[in-house]
Amino acid sequence: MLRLADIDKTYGATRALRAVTVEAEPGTVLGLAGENGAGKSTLIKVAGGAIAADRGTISLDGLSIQPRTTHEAQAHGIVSVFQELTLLRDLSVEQNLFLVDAPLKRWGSIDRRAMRQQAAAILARHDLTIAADTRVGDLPLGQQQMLEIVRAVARKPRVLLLDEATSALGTTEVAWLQRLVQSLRDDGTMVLFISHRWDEIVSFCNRVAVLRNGELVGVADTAALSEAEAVRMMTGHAVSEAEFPNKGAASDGVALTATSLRSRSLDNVGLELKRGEILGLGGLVGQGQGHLLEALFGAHRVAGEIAVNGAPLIQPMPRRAMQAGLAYVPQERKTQGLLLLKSVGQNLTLATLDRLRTLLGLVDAGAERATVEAAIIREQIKTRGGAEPIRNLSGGNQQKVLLERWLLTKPSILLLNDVTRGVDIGTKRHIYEVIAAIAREGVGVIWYSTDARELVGVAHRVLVMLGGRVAAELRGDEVTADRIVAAAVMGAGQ
Amino acid sequence: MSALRRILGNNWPVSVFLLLLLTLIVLKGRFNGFDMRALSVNSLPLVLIALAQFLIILTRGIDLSLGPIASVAASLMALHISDNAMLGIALPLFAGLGAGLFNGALIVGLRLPPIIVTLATMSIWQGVALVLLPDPGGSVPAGYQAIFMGSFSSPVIGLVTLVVWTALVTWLLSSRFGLSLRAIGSDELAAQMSGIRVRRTKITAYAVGGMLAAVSGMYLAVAMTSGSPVVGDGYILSSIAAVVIGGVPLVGGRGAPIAVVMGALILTITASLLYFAHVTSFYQSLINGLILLVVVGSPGGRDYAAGLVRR
Amino acid sequence: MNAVRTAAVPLFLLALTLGMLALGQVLAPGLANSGNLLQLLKIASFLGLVALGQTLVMLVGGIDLSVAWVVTGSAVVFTALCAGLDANTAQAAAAAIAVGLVVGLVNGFGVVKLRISPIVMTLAMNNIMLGATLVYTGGTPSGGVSPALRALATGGVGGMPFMVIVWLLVGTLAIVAIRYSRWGRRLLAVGENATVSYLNGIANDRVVIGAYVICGTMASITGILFAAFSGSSFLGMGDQFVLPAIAAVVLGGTSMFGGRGGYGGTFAAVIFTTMLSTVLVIGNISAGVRSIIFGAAILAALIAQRLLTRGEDRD
Repeated sequence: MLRLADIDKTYGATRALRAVTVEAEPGTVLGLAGENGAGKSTLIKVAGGAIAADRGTISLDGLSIQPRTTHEAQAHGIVSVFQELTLLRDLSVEQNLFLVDAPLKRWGSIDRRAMRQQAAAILARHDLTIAADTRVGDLPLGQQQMLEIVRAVARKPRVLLLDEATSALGTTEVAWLQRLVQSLRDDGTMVLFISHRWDEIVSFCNRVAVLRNGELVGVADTAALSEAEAVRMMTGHAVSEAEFPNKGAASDGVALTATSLRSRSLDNVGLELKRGEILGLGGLVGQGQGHLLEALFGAHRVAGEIAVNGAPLIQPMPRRAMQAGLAYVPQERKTQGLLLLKSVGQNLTLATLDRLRTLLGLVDAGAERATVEAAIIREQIKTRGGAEPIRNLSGGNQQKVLLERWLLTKPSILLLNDVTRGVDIGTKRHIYEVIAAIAREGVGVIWYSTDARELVGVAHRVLVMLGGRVAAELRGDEVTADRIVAAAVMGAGQ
Repeated sequence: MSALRRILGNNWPVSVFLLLLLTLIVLKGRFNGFDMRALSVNSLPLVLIALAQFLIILTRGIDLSLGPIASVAASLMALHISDNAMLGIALPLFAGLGAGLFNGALIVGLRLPPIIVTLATMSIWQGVALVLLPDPGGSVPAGYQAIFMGSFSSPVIGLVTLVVWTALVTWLLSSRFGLSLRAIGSDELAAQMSGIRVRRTKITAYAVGGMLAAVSGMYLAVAMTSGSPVVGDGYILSSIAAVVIGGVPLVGGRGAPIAVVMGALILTITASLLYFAHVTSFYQSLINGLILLVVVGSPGGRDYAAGLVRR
Repeated sequence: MNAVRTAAVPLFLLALTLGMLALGQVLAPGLANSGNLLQLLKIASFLGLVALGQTLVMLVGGIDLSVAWVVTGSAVVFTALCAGLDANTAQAAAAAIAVGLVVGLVNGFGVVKLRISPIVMTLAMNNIMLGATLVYTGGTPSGGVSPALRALATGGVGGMPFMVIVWLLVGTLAIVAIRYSRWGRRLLAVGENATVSYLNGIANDRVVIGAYVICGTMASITGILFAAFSGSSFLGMGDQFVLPAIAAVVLGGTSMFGGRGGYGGTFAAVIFTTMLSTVLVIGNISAGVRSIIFGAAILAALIAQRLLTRGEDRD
């Protein structure tokens, strides 16, 4: 049995965990649920040795252990799969699988042949059809995530910690993971599982521990807990299914057209977006949705034509796309969106610096302060002020800053790349309202989301992508979660 | 064939070297044992420092103090070996090891950027060499030359030495330690999270690098039969150049030792080429610079640098 | 809060400098008078100008090792063309500055368009400049500095050396531009994360190439002024600036990885390193020990600075 008792952890002024105690029995899958910043990831990192707790004890099968590094945790049989991939992209699949325990030849050099054979066996055992000598960086994100999980499982853990391990996986891959977790559970492995998606918690876990603001709210059997009850535990107030605001009606004016876009990951994609329309993009992860948005914004090179408000975009690049009235909120907040060393204010005005120009090229400090203060109030960003470093903010508030930066550009077309992934319910609802409001004002929105229910709630029309093509277009009553998921897996014609 | 490819990494630097060698032979009209010995012995110090630099660059680090470490080693050897052979050999090696450990400990322990730490230790070791040996001097009995480099007409010992050191580093890289080095250079945080002992591995890389630099300095002292406090300064940047010409990207994680050796040989042979082509030595650094740019700037060069990932 | 942090490094270096000064005063009573201090600033100004360019390049995550022979090459071109005549000064200076400008352009182009790593690119350009300078001079620099420029580099007004005035003006301009201009914002954005800045409409290539061009130009200007100060150009005159300039930039708190820092810290660090060398010379310390102390002092300052700002890069 794994027992984490009275765990405390403080970061600067925030208490990430407060006297949290959870237990996992062999042969169970324990879910950890909670909003962003509830402390789930911190707790799992404490168990995995990635973070040292300030106070509290960890015991495994009655023995007290104190893993100070992931390495020490692994020595006790506790293996983690983190939200961030820890694979070495420049190394091959086999080298990644045997990073610390590669089979050796007599003189201490690595036995490549044995390593390749053993790697191939591991991959085959887990239904992964990847060549063992592939460079990991060349694999699609979903397969990298699967490999990460397989690598952890191959270490034959007593305890497996899965921190948002499904975030890069599509529907079929999630089913794969579910089978894997079940077989581990049946073999007596303890599994701790974090996910933002309640349906995954229900399908993966026997029991669930709910955290809120660093404290344990309760532990229950997943079968005995309704979703509404769980949401109430997570948020502290009663909320039913996330509510979606009124979409308004799309106008007849065309905001954007794209014709026969082709690239390495796009295969003859065309679309038309009306003013005031919210066009959803769906499908399995990595079917070209992100590249389509980047292509429209000029950040992914394509052949084909793009026209904004009737005028063609020539040699598209982000700067020109912005001038034409486009705005793009990327998926990876920390690597593609924010400047983490800079302040909240500097992040807010990054895309609109040209509007703050004064004599001699200086930034208009007064106008900037006014803009920033207004934006913080309008978006209810929780911060001590515009000068606070952005990295001090929670994920949800960082996301608000990023979205508001692009709203400040007063775009006529807004491209959203899975902007609610990993964001707590409160922020999600805020984002839904803000986007619906600007769509009602006539802004055209293209919104890629990995969450089919979200697309149903926000979009007028949904394009489902598969293998770089638009596999299906769903309008009106056709826009249902079932239809989106079905089209994602099977393409058109069903 | 594939085995050969695996050993050579990629034939780009090998071909360039062979081409230059051929040109030299044509210009000179001969290439006998004497020439071969000269080439292997002249290139040996740069080969060793370049291999040291390579181990460190694999971890996405860099070491500007390797040249001065070689100077310290050469000075220590020249000061002591006539009186006490054991001391004259052990002292420089320990100095190199200590200097490398010092670099590694500062870089790993305080998470300081390698380039600035080794910039500071570069100054320190340059100073130490000057304190030990204010002017070129000391002596290394000529007998050592016969032992470590062979007689003037025989290339055997020189070539064997070259092969042995290359093989040693190749073996080191094919071990788990080598895989750890590549992993750290590829993504240090991910390597840490994957259970690699990042701190220990990095410190070891700097320590081994320091030792190799010391050995290089000792070869220099043997070749000159004396010590000099500035003998290693010329290698501070040329060791980086050799690694780069060997197709190793400075962002770490990739590269093959044999290619680095070829990089060092290419730099060495261009010097003799210019001499025999009756080109003033003024052009030498100009040409070295151009080679460097051609290697890293040409599309072929870049592909080839990337291709080295696959062993 | 942020202001305190930005000022922490320069203040710390100032304290170190004052400590050095006190030590120097003990070693050589009378060192700490205003005349000597201004002389010291005058000597520091050359390093300061080189370090200014280096600061910009390092703010965009690069490094410029070619300044050594850009300084020398420009100085050599200047003295050769100027030939000691006031009448030739302007054209000679323009030609010499063009050297640095072109080298900077090539460096920037290689780094940005060919994606060559900055260390390699500028190392290669340094070699090329070295070779080109040797070939151009045939091994012996010729010509001379015009009296007018010599007066600028060595003279002053009311006890205030011209060089110090130039340095203060250019330095202030750099501090303000990096911190308060839109260009500075872009420079810091590109340096921190090129993907983010590109996705926000910033012309990354132009910003980075610009930094290298300014760096090359500053190196050329330094070469001309330093030749004027020394009375002639000589081979290798630029070597003494490269590593101290990099050390000063890093000591001044500019991150080697780009995106964080400024010229204020560099400015203070340049004064500190110059003060340190001066005190070591005054203390009549041998070249070897001087080199050791210099290296150790840089390490000590780095370590102290790391301990002072500890926890800052924690997430």
